[in-house]
Amino acid sequence: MENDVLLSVSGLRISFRSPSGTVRAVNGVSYEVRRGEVMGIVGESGSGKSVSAYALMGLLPRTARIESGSVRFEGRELLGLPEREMENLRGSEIGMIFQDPMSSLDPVFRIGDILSEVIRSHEPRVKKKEAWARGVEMLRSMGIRDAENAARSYQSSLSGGMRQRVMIAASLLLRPKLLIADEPTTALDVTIQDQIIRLLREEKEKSGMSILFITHNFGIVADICDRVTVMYGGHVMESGTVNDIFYQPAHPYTRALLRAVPRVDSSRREPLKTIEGQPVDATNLPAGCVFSTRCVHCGGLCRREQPPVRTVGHEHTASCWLLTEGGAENG
Amino acid sequence: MKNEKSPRSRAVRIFFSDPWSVAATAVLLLLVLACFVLPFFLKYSYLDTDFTIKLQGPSAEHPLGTDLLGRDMVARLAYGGRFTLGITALATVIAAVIGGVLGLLSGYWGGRLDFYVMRVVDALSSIPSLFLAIVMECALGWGQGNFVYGLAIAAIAPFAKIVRAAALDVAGNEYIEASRALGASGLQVMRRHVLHNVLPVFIIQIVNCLADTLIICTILGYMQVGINPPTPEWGNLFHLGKDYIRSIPRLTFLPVAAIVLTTVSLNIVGNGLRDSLSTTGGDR
Repeated sequence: MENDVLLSVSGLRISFRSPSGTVRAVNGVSYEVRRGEVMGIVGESGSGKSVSAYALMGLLPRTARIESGSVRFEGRELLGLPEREMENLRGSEIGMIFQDPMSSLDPVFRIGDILSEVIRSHEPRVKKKEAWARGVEMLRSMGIRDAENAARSYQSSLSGGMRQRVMIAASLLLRPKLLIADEPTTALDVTIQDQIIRLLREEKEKSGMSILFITHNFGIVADICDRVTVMYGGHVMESGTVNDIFYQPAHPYTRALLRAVPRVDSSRREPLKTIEGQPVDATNLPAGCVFSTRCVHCGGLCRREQPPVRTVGHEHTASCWLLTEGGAENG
Repeated sequence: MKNEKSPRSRAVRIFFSDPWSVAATAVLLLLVLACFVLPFFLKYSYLDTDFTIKLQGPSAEHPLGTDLLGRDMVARLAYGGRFTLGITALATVIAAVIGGVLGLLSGYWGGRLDFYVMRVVDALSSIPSLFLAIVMECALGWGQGNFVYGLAIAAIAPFAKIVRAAALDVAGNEYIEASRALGASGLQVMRRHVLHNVLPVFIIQIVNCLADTLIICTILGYMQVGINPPTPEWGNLFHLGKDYIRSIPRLTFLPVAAIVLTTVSLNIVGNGLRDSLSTTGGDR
């Protein structure tokens, strides 16, 4: 079982310097991604879900500081790895796709040039022509018709869905073992979203890679993920299989989130449930549970002390004072 | 996928669809040809004096007449332009290379490097370029063209500032992050993606710098600080001609016309480039 772990993040703490004080973006986050699985990280804006992914790519902005923690990829510690080695890893071992395909491709290069660059920066001996051909081949396998033409065009002549396909092609060119997808469908139409999700799922099946899927959309989580980690205020609230999270949510935050998902089949015309209050201020986190300020079940202990991580089922953990070890909720 | 046009060819098309830009480019080309190619076919050198024909009007032998030493004005103007344009171009190239590299590093790398580079640039830009050129000429030796360094150093600051601003803007784009995520090193990203996207701004600045530097170069010539007689230069031709401005206005008018024509054309080309290049890359 241990060998199955491709990526393990443990006790990761990241803060940002800012004029209004230190922003504590990630506060002791741990999760694992196993080989061949899709791990979803769900959370609202500012929950630190993307920051932790940028950290493991070594792409944090200069103002960020990794306070503590460890990121192991195939057993190798990534934090503190020399920049040169990170560069070798990025794109070849770990790929990444982004939220906004409209701006993630350089407008002054042809698609084929961008793809060739990826190959040639990792394999300098590959000839230009060969790299180009491999790029075209990749575009074709991404379901892009007329791939030769697409390779010769500039991003401005491609649609958003096409650009995301190109971006996926670029990040899968060298067959990475892990693909980090940072809200890859947020900026796309629903129909295109579905196509992109299907494409990612197919690619995963084909190559056996793992995907770290960052999103705030529970519908997509149900569609593609095997396991889910729910984050809030830079903390992991709950973690488990998709079934655990959807059918037996243990944490009040997860339950509130699930209630806030609009449903097509709701019989009555009831208003959409929302979570009261504002997302927690990362410059001024509460002493106790980060969710205590918005939690309807919040008690005195919740405000004073941070809840420990409780195992509530097989592979299912949550951190909440209302839970008892190994069992269901008692509050 | 219908539009296969590269951003570059689109910019070229837009540039040449503007009649003003086309005309100004043509004028500049003609001037450059006149200054750098014509002298090879001229009968007279700019130094051939002949007092028997001094201050003559236009004739078949001397189409633009002669000056007070009987030297052929065509040769004087052509060679003069060669010096004026050559010096202007040299100073601009030096400034573009140094300022461009500084601006690119500063804007993309940022941090402490950016801070120190920009303070040096601030200091530089507080010195008037005319003054800097005169100081250079004094310090490094009079009459040897040392003022070029002054012109170049003075032009570094605007280059560095403009390229830095553009690089900062480009560096914030997601495609920069994306190419990092795909394994490109910082240097690769700077050389390829930042540089290419900064290029439009850089090219426009080169043209603007040429126009500015040309003016200062001719002012220096006029003040007898730059290129000194007998070597001709548009600015010092103007100086030599001004004593005869009432009797033979041609001697003043011709070099001044050359200066004005060049700067105006450069400015028109600069404007045209700004209009055509600003649409590059954008797709919205």
